[in-house]
Amino acid sequence: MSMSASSESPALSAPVVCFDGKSARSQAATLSVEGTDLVCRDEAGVELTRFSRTSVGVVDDGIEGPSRILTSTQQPDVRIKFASPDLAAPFLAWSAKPAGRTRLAAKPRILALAAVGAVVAGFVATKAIPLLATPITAMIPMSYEVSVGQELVPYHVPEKRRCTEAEGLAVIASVARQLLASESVNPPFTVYAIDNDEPNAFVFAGNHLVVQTGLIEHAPGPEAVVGVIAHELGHQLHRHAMRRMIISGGTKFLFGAIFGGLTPESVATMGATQYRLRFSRDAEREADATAVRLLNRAGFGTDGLTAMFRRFAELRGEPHVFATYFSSHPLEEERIEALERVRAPAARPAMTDREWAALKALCRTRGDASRS
Amino acid sequence: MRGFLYGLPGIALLAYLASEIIDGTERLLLIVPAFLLFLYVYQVAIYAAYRYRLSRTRWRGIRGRLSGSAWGYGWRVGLMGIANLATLGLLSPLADRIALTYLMNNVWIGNTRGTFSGSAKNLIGIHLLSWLLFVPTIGISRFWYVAEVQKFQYNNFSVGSLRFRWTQTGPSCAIFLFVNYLIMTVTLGFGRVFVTLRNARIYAENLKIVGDIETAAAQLSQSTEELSKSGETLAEIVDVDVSFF
Repeated sequence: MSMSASSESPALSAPVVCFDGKSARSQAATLSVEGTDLVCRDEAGVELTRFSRTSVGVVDDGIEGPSRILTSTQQPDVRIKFASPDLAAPFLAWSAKPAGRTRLAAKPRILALAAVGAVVAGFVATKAIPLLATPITAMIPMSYEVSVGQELVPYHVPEKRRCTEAEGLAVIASVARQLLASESVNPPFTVYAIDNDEPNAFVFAGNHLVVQTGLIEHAPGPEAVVGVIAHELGHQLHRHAMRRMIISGGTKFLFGAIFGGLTPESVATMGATQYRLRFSRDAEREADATAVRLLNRAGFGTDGLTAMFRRFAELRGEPHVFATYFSSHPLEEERIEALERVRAPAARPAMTDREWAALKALCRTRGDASRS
Repeated sequence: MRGFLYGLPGIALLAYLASEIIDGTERLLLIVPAFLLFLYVYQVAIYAAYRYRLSRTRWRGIRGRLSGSAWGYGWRVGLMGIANLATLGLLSPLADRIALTYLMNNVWIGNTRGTFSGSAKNLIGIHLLSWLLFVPTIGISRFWYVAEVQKFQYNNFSVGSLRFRWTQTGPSCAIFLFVNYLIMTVTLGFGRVFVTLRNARIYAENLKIVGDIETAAAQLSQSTEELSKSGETLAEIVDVDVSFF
């Protein structure tokens, strides 16, 4: 190998084996610098291949042992084989591309594509999936939802927390039956009460209704408990639990697809949860509206539910500045206002004193669920 | 057409999901076609991925190529796969021979097409022996069969006067494959990077070209065919990885 002192066009040359990209035949040749090009010539001086300094690439990266093979991005089928990396090094040093020319032009396009992708993903997560969830839910047979719900019973109603007093459970079942008198519900609701200080009640897939003792304890009266039960039944009449599962699964799948197979579960879950919460607030308003209908038809009126929301607001205190964003429910003030607009007085009491006492006695012993 | 192909795994998945919410015999009407469709698309994906990889593989600057039809490969191998499943693996040598014959006879290096001359008879002995040893070796004997298929694939393959040889012995290859399997299972798949590296190394060390290379190489020239425009997306969708050379 020889080398001159010129920095622009050094007189580099070295013996190589040249594969011209047309045939697999190996040809003993000499590689040299001519202007800004690298040129391979055979022993007779015939040019075998030529490419510019800026197109040089390394093929083998030394994995084949002591040799080094170069190619050209202009002629990707060409191979120039040096007997050692040392022989190739000066050519690589000379051909090194000036800094700042590495595919900068491609970046705006990538950013634009990423932005379009983000908008599309946002639309799918916030609009398309919730929109599709309703017809998909309608297509799911109730028998399947019941089997899903059956699987969830041990998680939502753990044995050690179940209240077993038959009289109290019968009151809940009776209230549910009165509220649903004009609705077609199959299978009938299975009702439970669990020992939990949190003032709440909930339904889950397959027509299961759960009342927590905290709700009875904090309720200003029996009408308030009946109002909350009506609200929860409203959720199930719209099959929100099933819809929620579909939306949750869909958004998780979407976020997983965007971030790839290595997505930490937490990232996908965070995204899915946020959109689920948003859906949840809409579902709460829908359940409130249905509760009003059920309460009015049963003659219980809406004041009990309004009173319960006032109690919730007292327990909550001043709402946090981000409450409207992160809460799964609309603010109580908003719900009270909506209820006031459609207020209907009670035509009859929600339950007798004895029934109210039975409710309050729940969870003094343990037992089974009863059917409404 | 390609878009439709990419949608097929989705159709299979939807059919399977739908079957989850249906009771009774109707469930089979969805599960069975979903399974068959996925099996078919899986094989099509393998062939399409081979085609892509070969078109980006060069030897001395000469590009590889895979002709033939991925659809054709899909139904041949898919049907044999079902028959093999139904006979509890009895037809493995035949199934492997059919798959490799179609695949390797469509391999090109530049302008020269490959030839595969393997016969299922070469595999029957080791196949039966590994089945007999299946229970006493808790299944490890089947790695020996897989190793023999690897040898069978390359030792019966030639391109022009270039002949290929897989130099690893059967037991050594079986141990290698078993260790790969252990790495994947013990690390719950996180060790895949090590398996990939081990595979690349074993191919580099054991796949040889034998004979008068220079004379054979002089007969190989670049193909004028265009590069395959299909990538490996379908293979990624059905989560399959392929290796060739």
